[in-house]
Amino acid sequence: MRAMLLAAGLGLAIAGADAEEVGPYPAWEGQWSRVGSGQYDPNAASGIGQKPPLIPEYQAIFEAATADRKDGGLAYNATAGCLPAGMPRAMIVYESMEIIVTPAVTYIKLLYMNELRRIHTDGRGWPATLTPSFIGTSIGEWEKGPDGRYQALLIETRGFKGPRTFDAEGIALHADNQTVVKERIFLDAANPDRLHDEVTVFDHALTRPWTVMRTYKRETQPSYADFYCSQNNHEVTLGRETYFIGEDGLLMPTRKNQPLPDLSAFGGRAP
Amino acid sequence: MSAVILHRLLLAAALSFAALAARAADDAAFPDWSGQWVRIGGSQFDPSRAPGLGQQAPLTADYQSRFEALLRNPPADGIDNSPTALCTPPGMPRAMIAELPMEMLIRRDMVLVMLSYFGGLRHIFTDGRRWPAELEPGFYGTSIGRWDGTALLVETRGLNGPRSFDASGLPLHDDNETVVTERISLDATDPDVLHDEITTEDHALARPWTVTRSYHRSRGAAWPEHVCAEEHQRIAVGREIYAIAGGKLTPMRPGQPPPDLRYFGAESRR
Repeated sequence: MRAMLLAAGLGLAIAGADAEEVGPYPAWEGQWSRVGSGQYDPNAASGIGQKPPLIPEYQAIFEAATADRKDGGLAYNATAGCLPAGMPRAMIVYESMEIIVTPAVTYIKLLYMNELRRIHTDGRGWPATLTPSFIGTSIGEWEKGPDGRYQALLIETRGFKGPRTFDAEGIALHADNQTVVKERIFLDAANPDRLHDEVTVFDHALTRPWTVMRTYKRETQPSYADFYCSQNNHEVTLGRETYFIGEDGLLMPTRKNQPLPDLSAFGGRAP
Repeated sequence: MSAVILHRLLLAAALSFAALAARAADDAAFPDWSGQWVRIGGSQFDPSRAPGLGQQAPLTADYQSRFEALLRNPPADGIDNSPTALCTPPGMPRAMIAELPMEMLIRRDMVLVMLSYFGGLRHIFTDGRRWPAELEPGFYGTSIGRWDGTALLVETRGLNGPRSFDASGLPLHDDNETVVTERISLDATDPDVLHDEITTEDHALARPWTVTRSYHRSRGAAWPEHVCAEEHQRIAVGREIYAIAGGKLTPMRPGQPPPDLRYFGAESRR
């Protein structure tokens, strides 16, 4: 009888929500959106308030980017040119993300820049070589809870290319792209509609590993909108200068007295 | 616990067991579409015909003229005459050319088509839903499907533009009232081949146009990360398309004029 009542409770839970535990896996499937703002560490102020543990060389790059940004520049931010955020920035989840859990792979589809993470949980080891990518290669391992069910996914991600920054504020990851990202993703103990990602980054731009906690809320009415950078992007970066494309399609300066774009490739032809 | 509550709990338990049993049965009934699906044939929309005018698309006279004019005077370099040259996604039905490999994930209530090209994602809802009164336009549209045995029948509406059938620029109508129907199924004799019979109804066409695309299964291959902005460093300024090379704007055709810089003042020109 006790088992039947337990099953009844489970059945009611299944009937009452889209969230569904399948086999030993936690109920993560569905769409999630960011809790908190879009800076890398949502628990610290944006910009210099992030206090990233940068080595002096990368602190100087960050401060230069901060000054450039105040002047309208965006050259430090690769997403302004529609390059993907890559890891770990992708897990800020500017738009929404959809999670699909299968025994061999957990998929995290990020609407922003249409990035897709495949987290392999089939027990594979690291290959001798990795094809570099912005999102990296991820291998995961499920952590069991006291009840024997999976409660957290431990992930390691390697094999990057760049340029990547932690967020839109210009905190750069090292140009050697040797970043390693470790994550622990788990549901909130008290609220099954909250998901946490404890993200730790190892990178040569940092003096020590940097850990932040991001949180997401479950979307009960998911919306499957398109996101396409090219459609919405009005900024174009040429060398170190960022220009704006106006409503009439013409190039505009983003700051007073901004130098003209270099048109030397046109052989002196007049517009 | 009252008898009524106990009865309700037992009924719920019975329903949940029934649901789980039905799910197990459903899962067993789904075809095995796992793995990586790689395009068979060329990148033109109908792989059985030559590209460009060789497609013999049943265009209306107006859109045939438009297509021929585009081929005579291609924008930029003529390699890609379509919106994807500026990193606008291919959308439907072109996405199902599967320029790069795709993965199909069958869930109980939807089928996800994960396209490597442009990172496209199609949600094909198989939960029995009906068409809503209004659809938010998207390049991949809204797709509702139903299983016919082991074949998936899909209808897609609610599309956004601009889109073309393929990179030649073979056009779809500007009104974006395209309706795409598909029948996706494994080959009857080779389980490592998947077919998609695609019928497009569009006001640029004089009649529905049906083509069949096929894909072969690969297992264990690496997945490419397609980044259009990395591949195509191009921007449109006014009516012209330019390349960006070495941080500079560069022409894409001989004699192309430089961009109009009327918004830059005298101080910028010093």
